[in-house]
Parts: sequence; structure tokens; C-alpha cells
Amino acid sequence: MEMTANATEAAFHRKRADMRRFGMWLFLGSEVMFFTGFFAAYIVIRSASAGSIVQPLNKALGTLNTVILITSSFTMALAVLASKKGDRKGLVNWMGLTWILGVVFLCVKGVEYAQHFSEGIYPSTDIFHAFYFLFTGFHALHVIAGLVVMGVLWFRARRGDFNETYNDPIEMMGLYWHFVDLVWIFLYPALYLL
Amino acid sequence: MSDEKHPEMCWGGYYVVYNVLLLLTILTFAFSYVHLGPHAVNIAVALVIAAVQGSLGLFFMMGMRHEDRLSKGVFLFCACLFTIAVMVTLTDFVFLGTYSVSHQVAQVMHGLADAAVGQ
Repeated sequence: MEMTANATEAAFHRKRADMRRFGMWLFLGSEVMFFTGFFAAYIVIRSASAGSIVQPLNKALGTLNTVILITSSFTMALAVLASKKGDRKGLVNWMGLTWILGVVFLCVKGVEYAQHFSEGIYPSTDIFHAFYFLFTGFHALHVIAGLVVMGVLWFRARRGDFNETYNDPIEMMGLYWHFVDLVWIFLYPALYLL
Repeated sequence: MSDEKHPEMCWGGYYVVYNVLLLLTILTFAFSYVHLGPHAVNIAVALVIAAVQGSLGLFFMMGMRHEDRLSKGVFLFCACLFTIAVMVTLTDFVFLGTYSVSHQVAQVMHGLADAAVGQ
């Protein structure tokens, strides 16, 4: 009797986890559409201009940020792996490192913005910089939102809220963070290199 | 979801994907200094590399290959719309040379017409 109840409860949790994951993919799909609009507009503006609208950006800082985000994606994957294994220490350490890398990414972006502002470059300067600030600004907002949620999850992980059977929030966080990384992978060549 | 059916990727697997992503980033960076011909070729190469990186992240880091059909369908549908939007708008960009030439020809014609009117 008790075994049947346990099995039913486990099936219920599995079903709920399935729904959460589906909801997360749906949300990420809507985010893809959000950035699609920006990308399409950017390409149209570039192709419609008789001359090149592209202004040189700091490639070194852009590349550094790409490496930082890819590394943070790797550490996040290891955090999710640790949570699935019930490795609390591993989860806390890897997620903490991911959070730090996210903050470093924002700091580098801040340095870049400060450079632009000191040179008198603002979103209103020209169409390229309008797109540059729009793209990177929205991306940075996504990073900040991710860092806030990750911070909360980190404290919960330290408290021991997650284990082998309950780690959905960590998985969802992982999906979101990888997505933020994927967006940057497309932004980087579009803005810095081409 | 399907964690029970599929084995979780191990530490080493993530490490390999991470290194490939870094390598492709370096490759993208290097290609930005190499002129492969018309600018459109550089753009195409950079976008192909970004697409490969995106696929690696999606299928290995995010574990898309282990998701059920509905989740895959929803996300890949959006990804396809993104690809279509980029491809359609890029078609314009690829023919930027044509656009520029026609624009310049039009300017020359205007100049000739103005000169003729002046005479």
C-alpha cells in the first residue's frame, strides 16, 4: 500500500517536472522570437544603408566576454550535474563560480560602456550604436535577471534544499543560463566582428 | 522528463564541448581578420560557425536531444523562424554589392542629367 503511494507521488513529481521543463522551453522559444526581431531589424538596416554603418568596437573585450560566458555555461552544466548526483558541495561551488563569472561579464561590459561614454558615444550617436546598446543592454538585463535568481538558488543550495530527486529549479536555471550564452554567441560576431 | 531513459552527459563530455566552443570562438575571431573575398563570405562563415556553436550548446549543454517531442518541437519551431528571418534579411545583405552599384549608378545618372540640364 505504502509502495503504491510512493510510486504515485513519484509519478506526480515527474509529471510536474515535465510540465516545468516544457514551460521553460516555451519561455525560451518566446525569447528566441524576441531577439529575432532585433536581429532582422539590424540586418535590414545594415543592408539598406548605402555605405557601411558598422563602427569598430573593442574586439578584445568582446572576445574576452565570449570566453567568460562560454566558461560560465560549462560551470553551470557542472552545477546541474552535481545537483543530479546529490553533490551539495559541488553544486554550491560550481554555481558560485558561475555567478562570479556572470558578474565578471557585466564588469567587462561596464568597462566597455564607460569607454564609449568617455568618447562621447551614446545610443543616439548613430544607428549602429543604437543597435549596439539595444542588443547588449537587453542581453545584460537577461544576465542580471539570471544572476538574481541564481543568487537565490545558491543560498537555497547551501541550505540543502536540493537533492537527487528534487533539483528542477537548478535545471531550469541551467537552461536559462545556457540560453543567455547562446544569444551572446550570435551577438558577438554580428556586432564585434562583421 | 527523459532522464530515466537517457544517461546524463558526464563531466568529460561537457569538457569536450566546452573546448570545442572555445576553439570555434577563436576561429571566428581569426576569420574576422582574413578576407575571404566579398564581405558576404565572411558574414556567411561567421554565421555558420555561430550556428554550429549554437547547436552544440543547444543539444549538449542544454540537453535538447533528451527532451520530449513537444518541447523539442516548440523550441525548434522558434529557432527555425529565427533562421528564416535571418536568411531572408541576409539575402538582401548578400546582394549589398548589387544595391550599392545600382545606388552609385543612379547617382552618376543624376549627375549626368544635372550636367545636361546645366548645359
